Formats: sequence, C-alpha cells, structure tokens
Amino acid sequence: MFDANIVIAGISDALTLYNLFFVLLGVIIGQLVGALPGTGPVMAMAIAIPFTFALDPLPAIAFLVGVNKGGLVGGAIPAILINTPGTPDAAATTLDGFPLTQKGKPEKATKMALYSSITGDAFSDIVLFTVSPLIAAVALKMGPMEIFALMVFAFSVIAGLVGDSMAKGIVSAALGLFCATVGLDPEHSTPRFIFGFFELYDGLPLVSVALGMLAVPEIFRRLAQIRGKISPAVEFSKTQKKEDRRVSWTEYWSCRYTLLRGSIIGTIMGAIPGLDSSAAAFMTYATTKQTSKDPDSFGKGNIHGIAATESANSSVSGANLIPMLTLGIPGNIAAALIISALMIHGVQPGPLLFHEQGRLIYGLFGALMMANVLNLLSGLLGLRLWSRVIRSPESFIFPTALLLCIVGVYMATGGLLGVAIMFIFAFISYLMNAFGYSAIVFVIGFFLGERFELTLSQSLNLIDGEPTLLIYHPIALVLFALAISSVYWFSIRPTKRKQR
Amino acid sequence: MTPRDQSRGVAAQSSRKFWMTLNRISGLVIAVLGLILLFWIIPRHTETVDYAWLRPATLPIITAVIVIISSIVHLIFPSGKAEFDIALALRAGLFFVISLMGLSLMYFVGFLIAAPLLVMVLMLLIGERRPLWLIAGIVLIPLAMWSSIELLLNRPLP
Repeated sequence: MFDANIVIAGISDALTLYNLFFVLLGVIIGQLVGALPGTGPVMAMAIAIPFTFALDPLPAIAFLVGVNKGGLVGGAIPAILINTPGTPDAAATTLDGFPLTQKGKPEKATKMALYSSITGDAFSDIVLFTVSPLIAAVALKMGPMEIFALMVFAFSVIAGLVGDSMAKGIVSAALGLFCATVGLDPEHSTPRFIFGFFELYDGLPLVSVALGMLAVPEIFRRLAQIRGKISPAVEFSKTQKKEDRRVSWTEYWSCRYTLLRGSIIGTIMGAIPGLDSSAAAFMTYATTKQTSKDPDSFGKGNIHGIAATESANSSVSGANLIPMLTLGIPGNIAAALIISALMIHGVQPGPLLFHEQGRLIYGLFGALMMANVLNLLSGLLGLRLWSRVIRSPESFIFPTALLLCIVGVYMATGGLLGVAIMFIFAFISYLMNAFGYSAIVFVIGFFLGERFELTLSQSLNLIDGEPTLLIYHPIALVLFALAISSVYWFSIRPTKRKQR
Repeated sequence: MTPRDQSRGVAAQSSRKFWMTLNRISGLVIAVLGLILLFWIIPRHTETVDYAWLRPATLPIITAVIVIISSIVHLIFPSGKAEFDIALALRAGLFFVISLMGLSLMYFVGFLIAAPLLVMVLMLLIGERRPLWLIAGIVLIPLAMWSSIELLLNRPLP
C-alpha cells in the first residue's frame, strides 16, 4: 500500500511553480472573499469549480483547497474588526476578537487569529496525512454491501446533525438522491426524468446543482437585504503601540494548550461527517473558558478566546477531508464541492483513490502543506489590504458574483439549459432554507446519489434479493444498526427528553 | 405592563403560532410532493423492466417513499422552525425574475449586451449611485469576463 516513490513524486508535483501558483492564487482569493462578509469560501469554491475545467486535476484541487483554507483565515478579519463574521465559521471569533479591537488592538487580534488558524490547520493536515492511508487500507477491504451500509449510516448522521430536524434532514437527503437519478439508470441504461431534454441523459449537471443550491440563493438573499449605504469599516489607528500591533512569541506560547485543545476538538469534529467548524469553535471556546483561571476575562478581549476559536475552526478543514478521501463521503459542504471537482476531473473519491490515484493524493497533501505556508505569508502581508477590502460595496460584489455564476455554469455545461437548471435549484434552495430543509444535506445526497445506486444494485445482486444472506456481512449489519440508532439518537431521544 | 406591550406580546405569540403552523404544513406539502412523485412522475418517466433486482424505478420509488414517511412524521411531530420574511422573499423574488429576464436577453442579444444591462439594473435597484462603482460593475467586470473567456480561453459565451 505504502510506496515511498509515489509519496515523493506526489509531493514534488505539488511543489512545482505551476501548482504553487494556483495554491497561492486560491489562498489569496480565499482570504479576499473570506474578508467580505456574506460571501465566504464556499461561494467562491462553487463559483470557481467550472473555471478549473481547463486545469489538470492537481492544480484544480489545490486551487480549491487554497480557497477553502484562505477563506478560514479571511473570515476572521471582519469578525474581529467590525464584529461581523466574514464566514459562519468565524462567528465565535467575534466574542473576543471585537472587544480586543475596541481596546485599540485590532492588529494584535487579527495576527493572533492568523497564527491560531495556521496552527490548527497544520495540526489537522498532519492527522490527515498519517491517518487517511490507514483508514483507506481498511476501507479497501469493504465490499459494495459495506459501502452501501456506510452511506446509509453517513446519511443518518448528516441528516441528524445538519439542519434543525431529523425528519427534514432525511427529506433533504432523499430529495438529493432522487435528483441524482435523473439521466440513464446504471443497470439498464434507460433514460429517467429527462422530460424531452436530451442534454439530461448524463444527469443534472453537478455545477448547476451546486451553484444553484448554495451560491445563487445566497446572492439573492444578500441582494434583497441591502438597504441604504454600506457603513464604513474600521480604520487602523496610527497611534497603536508597537506591542499592540504584534503577537510576541511569549504570548503565542502561552496559548499552546488552548491551541492544542482547539486543534484536537476541531480535528475530531471535522472527521465526523456533518459537523461544521462553527460548532467546533464554540465548543472549544466554552471548554477553554471553563478551564481558564480567569473565565471572567473571556468576552472582553482575551487572546486565548481567539486562539481557541480560530484553531478549532481551521482544524476542521483538513480533518473533513479524511472521510472524503478514504470513504468518498464528504464531511461538510467544502468537502462536497471538492468531491464534485474531483468527479468533474474524472477522479472517483473513495478507498480506491489511494491505490489508483496515489500520486494525485500525495500531491494534494503537498498542496495542503504549502497552502498553510502561503496562507501565513499571504495573511501577514495582506492583513491591512484585506481590512480595506471590507469596504467594497455589496452592491458591486453580489451582482458580479451572480454574473460569475452564470458565466461559470454556461462554460461548464455548454448551454443556457445548465444556467436555467441553476436558477431552478436556486428557487428550490431558497424555499428549502426558509422552511428549515437543509440545502447542504440535499447537495451531499445529490453528490453521493450515483454511487449509492450503484452499490445498492451490486449489494442486491450479491445477496440475490435474500435479506437473510445479510448475516454474511456483519460489518454492514453493524452499520445499519448504527444508522437506526443514530435516527433514535438525533430525533426520538430529544423529543422524549422535551416531553419530560 | 402597558396595553401596548400586551398587544405586542399577543402579536408576537400569534406570529409564532403562524410560523409553527406553517412549519407543520410544510410536512404536508412535501408529503403531497412525494405522492405526486410516486404515483405520477415516476411511473410516467421511467421505463418498465421485468428483470434484475434494481429496476430503473427502484431508487426513485425508495426515495419518494422515504420523503412521504419523513414528511408525515414531521407533520405529526413537527420540530425545527420555518422562518420566512415575506418582504425579503418578495424582494429576492424580484431579483430572481430580473436575473431570468437577463438570461433570456442573453439568449437573444448575447452576453456583451445583456450582462451589463443585468448588472446595471441590479446595482441601481439596490441603490448604488456612485459613478465609479457603477462603471466598474456595468462596464469593467462584464468586459473583463468577456475578454478573458472569449479572447484568452477562446470559449464561446452566449
């Protein structure tokens, strides 16, 4: 399984100037969009996917990973400076970041966020490099029945954790799976739900669905919310003391246990499909406050508060690639978008990925490492610039983003039908979000749909339609039992508790 | 508590009840959608095959049944919430319709004319009046996109 030549070749692929350029570009774009409240790396990744068609798989994926990582750093900047998180992940950073700005130390706060973010990110990447090949080796021993059962289990967990109700989560996942059945069926190659459009023989375009469900409704929502003038952003005071502009080594080192705690919590939560980074950030913040000798200082500009939240939310980004690369199950929406990009480039995520595309995966690991280094450099150099970016008017950003979505989908699908599908899904997503049905679960269901149907078909053939033969697949049985128990855990148990 | 506060409290309570009811009704709507899928759309848009374990309609039927069962569960035991700002939704709907009109215009007159018009309408509707930002959004961005895609990448735009 482990071949040093492939590892070295993969990492050296990532270190070419060409690939490093795309990592750097991704990091810069990520930091830029992260710094703009309301946009964020997910929207940027969704818009960027069609533009990566012209690239090879490694620079394309490295670019998207760079956008994601840069976005996590950028998101903290408006959270700290104007008390408005650039991304939902940075919501917890406002708790101590903004009070520190009010004390006249905005640069110290943003730099601490940057260092903490890089620390957490690097920690989770190291775990990803070491753990993923081992999990993939175990996953390779799994047959279609086990993979099918694993997907059922993953759906039950994701439906329970994402969104506000288990029943709604299951509806979203089922609707996503249903939409994935559009096109030719895998066993008989007969067309389904094409409504006379021959372009739909290949199924609904991934890019149209991803952008339609995630980016476009958010653009419409933000456009609808704009009222009056954009308020000016914070200015860096020229009278700041030198020690208030930087984070000393002593200050950073004093946060080592906080950073480690945040990184561990974030990595564990990131590796579980369905849990998002804001949950990790708030959990770490609460734990850090509880264990602190001076809990009253939290919420008033304590540097440990920033260290806790930023290390936790950034460590999620590397960890959620663990289930994606090893099992083909996206842990969160950023991972789902990376999966869609891999699929568009003809790479099928899952346990075979390490075997069939080892060089690409180790190249991706190399790109992840370099993204951390470039994130740090770009963050240090661009901090002041990004803080000015906050002042760009939304009236300019969102119409531009909408135009980018239209152009991107047109290029990817080669026609206006793809763009029309994107708008239909934007409408569906808007309604789903309004009534509490998770668009994220829908998209994950849609991405996994094709594989779900294939493994279901293989499993039914394996057991020849005889359910009693399931006893020869104990792992699958355990996973089915876990799926049922997670439905109980996330829906029936809380209801009973409430009744009490 | 003043009578004004009391009436505000009553209004808030009735508003909460309204949204809770709407949340519950969303289960009914989804259940009806599931039934339409199961009895109307799936039979008409899948082919009948009389062999193999997984037929073209098998997974769609499974998902439709799951949708119906889950939405009925939600109808009986509603949880979560529905949050729908009608004024905001109408405004978002307006932008949606404008974008669709922009898309239709792109089909007839092409990107280079329709894109600046679409951006201009959106920016003016939001309330942007600063000439520099208007020029950047209406002229520079569509032109940059067109030149980078049509001229540099040599790919066609509508």
